[in-house]
Amino acid sequence: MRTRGWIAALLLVVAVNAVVLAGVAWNRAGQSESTLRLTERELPLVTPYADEPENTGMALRLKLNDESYSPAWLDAEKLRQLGFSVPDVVVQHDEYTKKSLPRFAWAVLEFDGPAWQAFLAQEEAQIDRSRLEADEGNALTQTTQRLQEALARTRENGSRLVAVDVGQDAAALRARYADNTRYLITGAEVGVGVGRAPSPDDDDEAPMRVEGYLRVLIDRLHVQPRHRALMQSIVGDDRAEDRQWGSAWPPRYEVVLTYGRGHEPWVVDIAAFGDT
Amino acid sequence: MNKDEAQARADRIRAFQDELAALRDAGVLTLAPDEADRLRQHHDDLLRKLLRRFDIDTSRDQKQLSLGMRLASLFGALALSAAVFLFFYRFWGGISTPLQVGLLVTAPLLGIIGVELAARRERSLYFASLIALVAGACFVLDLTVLGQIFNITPSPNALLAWAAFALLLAYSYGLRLILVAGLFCLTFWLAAMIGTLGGSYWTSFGERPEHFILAGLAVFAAGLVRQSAWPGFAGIYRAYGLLVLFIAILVLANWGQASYLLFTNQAIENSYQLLGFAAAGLTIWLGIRRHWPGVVNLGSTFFVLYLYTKLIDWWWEWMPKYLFFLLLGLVAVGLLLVLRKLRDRAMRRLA
Repeated sequence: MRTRGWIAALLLVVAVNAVVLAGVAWNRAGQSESTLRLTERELPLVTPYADEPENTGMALRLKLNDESYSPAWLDAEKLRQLGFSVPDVVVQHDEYTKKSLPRFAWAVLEFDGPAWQAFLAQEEAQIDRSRLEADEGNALTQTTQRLQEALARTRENGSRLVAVDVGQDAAALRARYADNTRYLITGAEVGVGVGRAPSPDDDDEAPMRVEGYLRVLIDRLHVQPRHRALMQSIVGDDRAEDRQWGSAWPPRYEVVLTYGRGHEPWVVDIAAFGDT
Repeated sequence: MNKDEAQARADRIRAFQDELAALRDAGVLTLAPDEADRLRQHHDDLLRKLLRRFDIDTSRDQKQLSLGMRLASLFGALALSAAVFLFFYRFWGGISTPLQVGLLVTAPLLGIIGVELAARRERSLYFASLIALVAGACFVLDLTVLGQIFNITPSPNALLAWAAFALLLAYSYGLRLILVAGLFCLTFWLAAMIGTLGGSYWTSFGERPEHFILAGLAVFAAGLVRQSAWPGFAGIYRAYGLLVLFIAILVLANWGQASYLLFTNQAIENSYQLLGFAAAGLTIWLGIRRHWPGVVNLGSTFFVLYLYTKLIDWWWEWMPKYLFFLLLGLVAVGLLLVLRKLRDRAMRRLA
C-alpha cells in the first residue's frame, strides 16, 4: 500500500499539472478570441496583495467603467434570461435576495465604443442640468464645478471598458458583437440585489426593484517577468494605485491583451507611451 | 496488530505492573520469586518486541515527550508551510516563467519523496507527518500560483485535487494530520458542488451554511465505515464531519439571513437552535451507545455552546450581569447533576 500510495501521489501531482498546463496551451493555441490594445486607464498596476510588501509579483487590474459593475440594462428581464427567478414586485429586501445566489454568465465588454460615448453624453447632460438649476437661482455652482472636474478626470484617465451585455452562450454573444478588437467576452459572476428605482428627488418611497451586478472572474492579470523591468521603469515606485484617486493624469503605458479560445486572457505586450 | 493496539497493550502491561506492586506493598499478593522473574521476563520481551516493531511509548515520560513531539510536528509543519509560501512570493517576480513553473511542479514532488525517505528512517512518523503537510502546502501553492501566472478561471476541482493528494499520503503512511487537511479540502469541495446544484456559481458556496451541513453529514457518514487497517481514521472522519455540521448549525442559529429557508429570520434561527440541541443530544446518545468518547465530548461541547448562546440572546440585555453569570453557573450545576445521574445509572448497569 505504502509504495503504491506515494507513487500514486507523485502521479497525481504530475497529472494535475499536466492537465492545467495543457489547458493553458489549448487556450493560447490557434486563433485568439479577441485582442485589444488597452492602456493604463483600463489596466492600472496593482500588486496581487497590496498588504504584502515582500511580494515581488506584478499584476494589472482589469478595470471597468464605474457604471459597468451594476449596469442599468442588467434589469429584471435580463436577469430572467440568465436563469434568475425575478418577481414583478419586490416587497422586502430579504424575500428575494436570499433565494438568489450569483450565477455564471459571459459578459461582453466594449472598449472605447458607443457605450463609452453614451456614458460621456450622460455625464455632460447631468452637468447641463446642474448648470440650468444654478441659473434658476439655486446655489449649485459648486456642484456643477465638481461634476465638470470629475468629467475632465474621467475623459483623461477613466476606464473606457464598458459592460454592454451578458448571456449564457459565448458563441451567440460573439456573433452579435463580432468585432473582436473592440469587444471582449469574459466569464463573470452575476448577482442580484434590491434597490429603489432612481427618481429625480432621490425619493425614499420609490418602488423597490431587483438590480443586477456583475464581477469579472479574471480581473487580475499577471505581468510576466519579461515585462517587469519595463513596468518598473515606467511606473517607478508607484505600485499603490493611488494615482487613480488624484487629479487627472495621462496614462503611461499601453497593453496588448489577448483572450484565447477558453476566454482566458494574457498580456502579450506592454509598451510605454512614446515608445509605440 | 496495529500501532494503537500495541500502545494499548503496553499501557495495560504498565498498569498491571503498578497494580501488582501496590498489592505486594499492601501484603495482599506476593508472587513467588521465580514466578515474578518469569513474569518480568515475559513483559520485558513483549515490550521490546512491540517497541522494535511499532516504536511505541513504554514509559510515562516517553508518552509525555511523544505528545510534545506531536505538537512540535504540527507547529513546525504550519511554520514551514508559511515559509514556503512567503519564500516563493518573495522571489517569483525575479525569475522567468518556465523556472517558476518548474519550481512549482517540482516542490510537491520533492515533498512526497521526502515523506517516503522520512518514513523509511523513522517508524514513529513525526517527521513524515511534518513533511507531508509541507508537501500539501507546496501542492496548494503550485495550483494557486499557476492560476495566477496564467490567469486561469478559478475552479473547485483544485480543492478535489488537494483533497486527493492529502488523502493519498494519509492512507499510504497512516498520517492523521494530513488526513484532517484532506478532509478540510474535501468538505469545501463537497459544499461547492452542493451549491452548484441550484445553478449558482461555485464561489458563492460559503454564503449558505446549509451546504456545509450536507458536506459535514457526508464526511460523518464516511466515518461509519470500518477502517481497521487505519486505526483512528474513522474517528477523525466522524469528529470532523460533526464539527463542520455543528459550526454550520451554530452560524444559522444566530444568522438566519444566510439560510435557504424562506421563513422569517427569527423563525429560521429558532428552527436551527432546536435542530442544534436535537443534533447535539443525538450525538451524545450515539457516542455513548457506540463507545465513541470523542463524539460524546463534541456533542456535549456544542450542547453547552448552543445553550449559552441562547441564554445570552435571552438574558444578556435586560438582566443585571451578576444575575446572568449566576444563572450560567446554576445551569452548569444543573448539567453536572444530569451528567452525574447518567454516570450513576451506567455504573449501576455495570454492577
